[in-house]
Amino acid sequence: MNRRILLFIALLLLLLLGLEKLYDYFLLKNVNLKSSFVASQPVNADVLFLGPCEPLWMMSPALFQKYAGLKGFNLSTVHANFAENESMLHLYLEHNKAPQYLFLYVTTESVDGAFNVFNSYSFSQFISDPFIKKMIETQDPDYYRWVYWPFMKHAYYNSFITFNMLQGVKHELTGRKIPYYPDGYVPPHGITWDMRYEHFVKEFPKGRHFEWNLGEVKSLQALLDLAKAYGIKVVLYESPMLNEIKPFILNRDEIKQKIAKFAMQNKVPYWVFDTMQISNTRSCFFSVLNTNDKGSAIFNKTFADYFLREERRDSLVH
Amino acid sequence: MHFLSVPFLCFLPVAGLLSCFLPFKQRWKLLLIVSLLFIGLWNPGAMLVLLLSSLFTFYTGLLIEQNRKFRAGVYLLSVTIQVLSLFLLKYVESGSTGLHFLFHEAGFRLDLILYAAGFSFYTLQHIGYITEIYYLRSEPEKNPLDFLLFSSFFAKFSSGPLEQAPQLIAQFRKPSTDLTLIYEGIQRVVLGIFKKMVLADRLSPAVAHVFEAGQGQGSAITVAGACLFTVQLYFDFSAYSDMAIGSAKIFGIRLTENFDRPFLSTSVSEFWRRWHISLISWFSNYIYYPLVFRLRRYKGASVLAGILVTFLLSGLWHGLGFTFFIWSLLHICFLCFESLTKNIRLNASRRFPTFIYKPFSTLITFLLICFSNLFFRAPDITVAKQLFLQLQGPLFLSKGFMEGFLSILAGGGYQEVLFNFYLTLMFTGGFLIFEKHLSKPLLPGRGLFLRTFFLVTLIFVCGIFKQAEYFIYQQF
Repeated sequence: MNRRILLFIALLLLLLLGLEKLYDYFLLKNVNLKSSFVASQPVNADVLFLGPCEPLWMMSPALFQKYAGLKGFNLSTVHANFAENESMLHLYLEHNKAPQYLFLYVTTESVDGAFNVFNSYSFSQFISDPFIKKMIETQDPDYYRWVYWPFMKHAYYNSFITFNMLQGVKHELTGRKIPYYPDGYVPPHGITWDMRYEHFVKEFPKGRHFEWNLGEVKSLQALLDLAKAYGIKVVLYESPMLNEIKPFILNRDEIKQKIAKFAMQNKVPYWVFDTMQISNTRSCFFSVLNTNDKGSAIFNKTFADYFLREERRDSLVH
Repeated sequence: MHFLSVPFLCFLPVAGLLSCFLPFKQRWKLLLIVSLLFIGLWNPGAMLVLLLSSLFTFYTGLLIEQNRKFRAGVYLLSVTIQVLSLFLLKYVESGSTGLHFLFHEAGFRLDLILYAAGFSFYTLQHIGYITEIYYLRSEPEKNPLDFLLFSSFFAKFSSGPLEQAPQLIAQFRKPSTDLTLIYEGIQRVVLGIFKKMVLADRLSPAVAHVFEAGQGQGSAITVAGACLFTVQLYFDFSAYSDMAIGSAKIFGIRLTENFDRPFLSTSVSEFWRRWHISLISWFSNYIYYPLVFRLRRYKGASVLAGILVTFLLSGLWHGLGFTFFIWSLLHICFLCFESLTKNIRLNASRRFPTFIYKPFSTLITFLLICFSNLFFRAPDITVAKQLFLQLQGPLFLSKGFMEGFLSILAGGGYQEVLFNFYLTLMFTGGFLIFEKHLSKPLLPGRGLFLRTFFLVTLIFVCGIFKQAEYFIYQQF
């Protein structure tokens, strides 16, 4: 009986250790996984767009290159907070030359802390990296407790990770080197109005006060410090927001002022595009913070033009 | 301490090993310490409530036996107090602001009652215990520690199975010496973890999407949501029961089986003989049969009255919300209909071949259960009404139907979520088909080794670790 139990435990341990190595290997081979892609292949962009899903679906590096002549890469990830943005930037900088510019999406929502999170499962294959390990320890302590157990760093969030690993197997077998979205931008093709405005208004009929979350601000500061250490010129910006939602963000002006003050203290520009004409019409949005194909095309052109004007004025020199 | 928490999964083998080194007659002491530790570490307040309730029931039992003159009065008073305390707990849980306010003003520690985990389960057992004594079907326990162990036994404490005191205490005093019981126990625990983490928790997001998506999702999606919830509830609760029964077996104790593949039922009454068996037995023994017996001169009406009272009380036991009331009303209707059409259905079953009649009845029964569970799962009556209205929409496939269907059930229809959704459906279907074989305990050998290895691997590769501690039935 004892021998069988010991054999069972030994075989299980062996299996888990083997699975851990297998997952580590194939997750790195998944080129659609942005963290793996930037850490395994040279991207070497001049411009990086960083933030959560808003810039992911709005900022097209191809359009930026067309209008401003600089090669870009969209490093944004879904639901990502500043700590995740910083981790993505760290992985990028570890394996690529530093870009000239970093456009970082900052808005009332992103400094609140209730909307975006640190998606630890995007980094399970990088836990041996001390920077990532430290970040996970502070951002997701529940998960961190498990990462030293055999295979648990992948098992804990396996509903996210297993699919990515299998996709990595496919990419390895087919020799795929280019991601499905080569420049990191995910165009919002076919996404229709997502009803988030209606849900928000239903939940907060009298509006909501947004928080100036000190944890998020600390992460934002760390991100700026990392960029500065590599001599990257950082620009904080806010993309167009549907005007209908503004009355429901009760302290929007106050938070915007705080962001502006923060930008000034860090000597980085803060561009706000919320007065653009497209903010008045739902036909350019699929969500209050996300423009659709039509809105994105207009905004990307405006953004690139503004960039060129500011660059000419030399105001981007820190 | 929850069954799927790390402390419990460490505590169980350690306690199991310790018990192996103790003489059989002394094991109950370890079980008592372990049970009190289990509850105390979970919630000291709950332990205090349990001690008070157990002492009260224990001495009430003795009083009923010793005091022949006032035994009826003592019995009635005791049952009334227990029922009122149960009602109070449910009332407070339902969030009645008035009562919250009263308690707060009186300076009571409301959380002591609110978090008295397992309270509604052991209170039913206590009522059963004194009823058995009152009707002279069993004798009261003479040792308060035995009775305390019966009330607090960690394996069944928070959500059952509901047990009878004499049978369980006899096992504590003389646990089984059969070594294969330990193997069976470990298999049941592994099976429970598998059902919870790989099946129930993987179904949870799809169910949540349907019940939280709001208006305009169509009838097919609502039906799918109700079906998936019914399966999720089964996996979740039967996983809990498996872990409870398995944990007890490791200590040589056999608990009552709570489920017997309920989705194979060909009628709602059969379903209730296969689902949450220990609770239904309790309601049958202490409510249904006594009532039918008392009203026996009214013949058929006595059965209908028995069903009515039993299921109204069952609904109340689950919660005071209006949704539970509708859920119990639906079951009353189903069961009354079955009772009234018993002969017609019997004739129909003879007229049609079994391979047609049986699957058809099984499907209808399953759909009826799913329909009632729409109200069981809905957070409030507004959502329940909304879901009910959605059922009246067209069920026919339209252009883009499948995309919309999957996009709601699989949370936006992203590739990885779809992959998880299909994987979950595959596991669920596979398990339900092979449930009989997978649940059958195996003797030590290659089969046991391979099956356990396979299940453990699947738990690691496909289990949901993040929400695994929460069991649906713990809220009752």
